Amino acid sequence: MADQDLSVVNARLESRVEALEAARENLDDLLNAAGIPILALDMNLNIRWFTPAIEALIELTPSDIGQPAAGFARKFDDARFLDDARAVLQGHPPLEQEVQGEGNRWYMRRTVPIHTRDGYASGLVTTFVDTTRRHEAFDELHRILEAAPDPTVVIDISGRIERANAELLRVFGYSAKELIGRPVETLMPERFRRKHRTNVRGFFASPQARPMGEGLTLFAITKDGREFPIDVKLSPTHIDEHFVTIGAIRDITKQKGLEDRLHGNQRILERRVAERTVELQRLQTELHRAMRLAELGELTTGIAHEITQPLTAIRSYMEACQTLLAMDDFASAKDLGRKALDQARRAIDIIQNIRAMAVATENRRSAQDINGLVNDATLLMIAGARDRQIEMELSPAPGLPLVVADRVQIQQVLLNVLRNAIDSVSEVSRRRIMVETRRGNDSMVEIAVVDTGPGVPAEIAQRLFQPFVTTKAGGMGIGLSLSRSIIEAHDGRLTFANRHSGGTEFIIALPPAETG
Amino acid sequence: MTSTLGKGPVLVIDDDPAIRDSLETLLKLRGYTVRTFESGQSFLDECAQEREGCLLVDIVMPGMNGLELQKRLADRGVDIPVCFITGHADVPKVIQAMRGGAVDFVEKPYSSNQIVESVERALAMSLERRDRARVAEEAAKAVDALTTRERQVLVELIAGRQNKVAAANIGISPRTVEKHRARIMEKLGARSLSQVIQIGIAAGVTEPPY
Repeated sequence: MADQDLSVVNARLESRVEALEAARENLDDLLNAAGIPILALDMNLNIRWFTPAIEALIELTPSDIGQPAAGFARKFDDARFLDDARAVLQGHPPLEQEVQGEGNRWYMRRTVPIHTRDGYASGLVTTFVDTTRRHEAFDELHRILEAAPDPTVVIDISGRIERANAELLRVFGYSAKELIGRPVETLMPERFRRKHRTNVRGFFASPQARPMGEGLTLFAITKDGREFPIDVKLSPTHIDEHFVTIGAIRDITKQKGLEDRLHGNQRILERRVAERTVELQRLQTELHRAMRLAELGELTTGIAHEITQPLTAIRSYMEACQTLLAMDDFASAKDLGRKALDQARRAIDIIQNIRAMAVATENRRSAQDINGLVNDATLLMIAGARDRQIEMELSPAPGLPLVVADRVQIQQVLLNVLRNAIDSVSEVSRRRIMVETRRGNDSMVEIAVVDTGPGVPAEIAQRLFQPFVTTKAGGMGIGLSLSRSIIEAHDGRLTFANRHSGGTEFIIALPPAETG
Repeated sequence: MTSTLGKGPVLVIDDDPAIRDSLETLLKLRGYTVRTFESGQSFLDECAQEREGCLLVDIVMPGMNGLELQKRLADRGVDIPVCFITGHADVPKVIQAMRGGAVDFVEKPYSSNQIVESVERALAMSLERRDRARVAEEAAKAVDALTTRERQVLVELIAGRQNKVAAANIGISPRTVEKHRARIMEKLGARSLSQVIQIGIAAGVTEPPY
């Protein structure tokens, strides 16, 4: 029974062993077929087993099993091979190292501990994964980086500098060792760093090739603290399943300088244009004045000629009339008297026509904001006033009703009054003109022009609004007469008063527009 | 009123009817014959050959102005004194008018006396010119009656030469010169040598080219 039992057990065991053997063979086949170099070592770093592919890295034969691994020549450059193995056996987590083998091949050497079921380390397995393709890709990248004219960095997904070209090291003054593995923010001034880290996260969330910090001026900082303006172009890319971003950095100091100079020139130009505009406005004002004077001169000559005709006839008729009266020829004298009277009427008609001409344009009237009108008119005068050291002040009342008026005519009147005021204060040392708008006692809208001039002499005051009355040396005396005609044609009033404090106040009063 | 009764005539040209009428009134009262025209053209149409009296012309007129009229008259050889009346003395126009031979300028509004003074001056000039013209015409007629030989002798006389010299110049004897001189005085109705010379000069006799 025991023998029988034993034989059964034995048979079972044998079949188990066979099964295990088969499994092991399967595993060997698998490992061999995978073509991955694998080397297993025991606790004493003696060779336990290996895959045939290991021969590309270490020359081993099956008889070498049990020999110390340190005794075999390695065909790859790996100073840390045994140190890493020891560390792992002492409980260190798996260690990786990229190593270069023969024929310019690269491998990722990975050293992983093997544990017993109860958790004790029983040895280790070292695998070598061929990374040559990735390396070639990085070499390609390296050549491209070095060929790039601008300082260029490669940044990994955590925002750390993986590579930098020689141009970048030169410009920023770092050695490769100082920079590789450092956050990319190392290259920018402190004040931008925090914000940049946030932006980097955003960038990696949806990576796209784009210029960095569009619309902003970016700055870089060198190792010795020199800042300069930059443009950055970011290109996200995969290198053998490794995700990186390439950043090309361009120093735009020169460009910025040109830009700044351009801006500066533009500002200078703008200022010159503004100056010329003021100058032109001043010239325009002068031209207007000159044209008005020339027009006035022409007008005056014309008026004088027109009036002279009937006046000449009247004189001739009346002198002839005197002769006739001396001859007692009353009938003929009466006839000539009538003719003279006709000519007097003709002269009066001419004067009335001139007045009518000045006020004939009723159809150009529209609702006017008196403050805007005053503002525009005084603007024309301010430059001229300043030239004569005259202080001009505007005091507009808010909420005035509109007036229905011919803007140009009212402005002409106001300009005329202002011109008089300017001439008047030019004679005194305290030169001040105030233009005030207000609501009059009788609800008229008023423009008051108050000056600090000598006032209107009493002998002139009564006749001030008659034609050809003037206080000015070169004046024609037409202005105020026409002005009053214009204002009266607007159903308004043009009045003046000498102020007891000195100076004159002219008031242009216009009726408010009917509401509703 | 006919022109034979008054002084003048004064020919008034002005586009303003009141000026025409008042001028006519005052000038007629002063005893002048007056004719008025409303434009330079109407004057030229009606009185193209008028040489008597004087013109009183407004310098500023629509159409043909006073200066243009003055030039047209000069072009036609009409020699009549011109007085201008003007609204205001415009220096270039005055200069042009004076060069054209204007007698005077009267500025509006003129007095009657100013107008009359200018008209008087112009009429005096007109008469003087007319007298001179008549004398010359008569002298020329008389000189025309002389023979060729007598004309030759007259030329020598006007040149103030002695009988002997004149005789040598013409190629005749001094006695013959003497005879011709007597005939010339008789034909020209002159009582002295100086009268002969006056008439000869008035007739425009000059030394013919030998």
